Amino acid sequence: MGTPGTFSLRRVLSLMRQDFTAALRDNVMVYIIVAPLLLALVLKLLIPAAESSSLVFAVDRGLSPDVVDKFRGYGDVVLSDRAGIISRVERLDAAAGVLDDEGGLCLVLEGNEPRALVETYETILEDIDHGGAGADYEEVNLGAGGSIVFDLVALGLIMGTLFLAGTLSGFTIVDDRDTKAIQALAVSPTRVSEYAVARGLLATALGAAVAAGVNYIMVGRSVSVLRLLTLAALSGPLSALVGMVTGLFSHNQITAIAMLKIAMPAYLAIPLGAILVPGRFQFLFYVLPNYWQMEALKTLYAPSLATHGFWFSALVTLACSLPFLMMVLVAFRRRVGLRP
Amino acid sequence: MRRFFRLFKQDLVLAFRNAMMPVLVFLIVMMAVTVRFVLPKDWQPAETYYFVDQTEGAPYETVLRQSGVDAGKFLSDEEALRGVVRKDRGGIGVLFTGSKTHPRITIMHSDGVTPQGVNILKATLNAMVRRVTGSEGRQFSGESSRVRFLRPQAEPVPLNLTALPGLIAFEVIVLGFMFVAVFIFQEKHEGTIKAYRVSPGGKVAYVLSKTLAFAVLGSVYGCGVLASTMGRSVNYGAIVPLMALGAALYTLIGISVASFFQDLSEWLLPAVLLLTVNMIPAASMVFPTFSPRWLSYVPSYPAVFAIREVLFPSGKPILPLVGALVAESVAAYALCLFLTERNLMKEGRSWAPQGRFR
Repeated sequence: MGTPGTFSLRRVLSLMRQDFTAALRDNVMVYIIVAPLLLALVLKLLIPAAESSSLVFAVDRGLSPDVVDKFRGYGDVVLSDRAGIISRVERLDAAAGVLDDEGGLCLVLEGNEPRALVETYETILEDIDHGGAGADYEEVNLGAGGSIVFDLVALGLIMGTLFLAGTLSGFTIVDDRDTKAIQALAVSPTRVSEYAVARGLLATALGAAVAAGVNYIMVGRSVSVLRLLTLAALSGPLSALVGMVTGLFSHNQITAIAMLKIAMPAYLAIPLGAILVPGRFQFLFYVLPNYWQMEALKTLYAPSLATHGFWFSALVTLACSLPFLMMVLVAFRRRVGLRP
Repeated sequence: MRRFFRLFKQDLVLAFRNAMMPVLVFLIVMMAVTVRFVLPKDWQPAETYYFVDQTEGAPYETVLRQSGVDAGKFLSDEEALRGVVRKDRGGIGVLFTGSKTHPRITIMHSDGVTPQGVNILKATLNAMVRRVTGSEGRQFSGESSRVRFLRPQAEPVPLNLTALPGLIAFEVIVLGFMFVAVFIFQEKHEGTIKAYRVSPGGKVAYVLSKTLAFAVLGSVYGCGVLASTMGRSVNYGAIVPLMALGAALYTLIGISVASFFQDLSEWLLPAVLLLTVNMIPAASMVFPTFSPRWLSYVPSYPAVFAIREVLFPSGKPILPLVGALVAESVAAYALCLFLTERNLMKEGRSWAPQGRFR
């Protein structure tokens, strides 16, 4: 072991080894690895399906096949009688009914559809009524694309993964406190900085590996993994911060879960909500490291929303995390009695 | 009955302890601040359409500018248009060439745009062409189209409130799912379940006391969220029973799931995955045309739409949704009783003669 009073890498590695074994035994690590990957798989399948979902027309079966075919060009068509059409429109989705009413086409809607969707249905009906506009069309597919919803979900999932990895160290700290192992550490030469580095390094390594997996599932190779791993590394103090805060305020797993219930929405929702906040108020978030982590992730996943460059945001993530981590370390040391 | 109320009181006291109240108060304050002060009431996502008008006099660009399209969305030539569509994932480019009266329109897009999506875009562009050319075109059906609403059109919901039905359904009423498991693991750890099994209390009182405690807690939490975000504009007489019913359903499911596991760390992964699946109906709220039949089999499906209807009434009858929720709760109750007997109570019998304490 290292000399008491100096920072010892050997003690750090020893603590990491203990954590790794404990986390594997306790399933928490399995959860932190498996949950984001499974979630990524589900979302990868679900979001494109939801985004490409077709409009649904419940069409009067008395209408001519020509008209029915025209509606098929815009979405899925269900042929039905008048009562069936009304019943289909009444269902929970936003299907539109099409009736042949006194010689004219009539669109039947519930009344609770979003205005933009009503306008879309009206535009389609108007186009069918007018039979086009005399314009010639050409369609050019430029290849790989994406969607802003998908990009934001991928970004949120990566950020959630990095957060979850931070909680791994939190659970270990809670376990140390619950089993009084921390009291044994307090009378050993282990310093609070070594304790934090050990917890933070394991969380960072795990977070980086799982984030790379999530990234591959969600967007393949279209995002630079090297940059993602760099950001995960620069977010190491932030991961340690998440763990130390969880450990500081929780005496057992129950309070740790309660803490996560507060911390997770705060960690994810604040920077996500900031996207909707006008530019002149963005400065209010500048002090938060998770805001800058999201800014850096925006440059990778949603460049159209990014307001700063990758390196700037990634380095500010690191710079903003350190003072918070120092404060929490001081409080943690006082609480558990580890050496300064 | 007295035994049941004693148990209920005990569970309620425990539910309000254990750092639960500060957590809930913090979450309510956070939601209130976010909804009232952070999220705007109206927000338009950044436009992802880009245009180049090379027809004489650029009449299409003029119409688009008049309808409020941002000046930055108009580009100088086809190459620039291709470049920006390639760069902006999900962007769509529209190039107008030919003459004003017979334009040739090139639509550029990336993978993932469906043929129906392209046709809808063509219908929108056709409307613009008709506006520019002043042409009425050929009337397909001989009469102008009409739109009829089964009920008066509902007022658009302000953006900052749109997430509330989801928050109530996926945060407030699932509270019981998560915390009842914590209770059960604590009871297993402390051996309380074993002690309970040899006491005169039955599985019905055990299940119902927890269910009622979390129904109360869920309703109090939900009322806190709604009072701090929507204030008096909510029909509390309808939403409170609905939240209590939803919370009861998820507590019953929570007891059933937790009965299979020994501690929190074993339970965490399956629980989070179940909660994730439970949130899939949110996709139907974000994309109103996305509603595959299998989605309606997710337990939260009727709850989320019933809550939305109560919070933002559109006149749609909610009785079928409430009926579905009641049916789910009855089924969950039966399953919960079976699993409680099989997985939880058997621990107490392990040392006792078989059947003696039934």
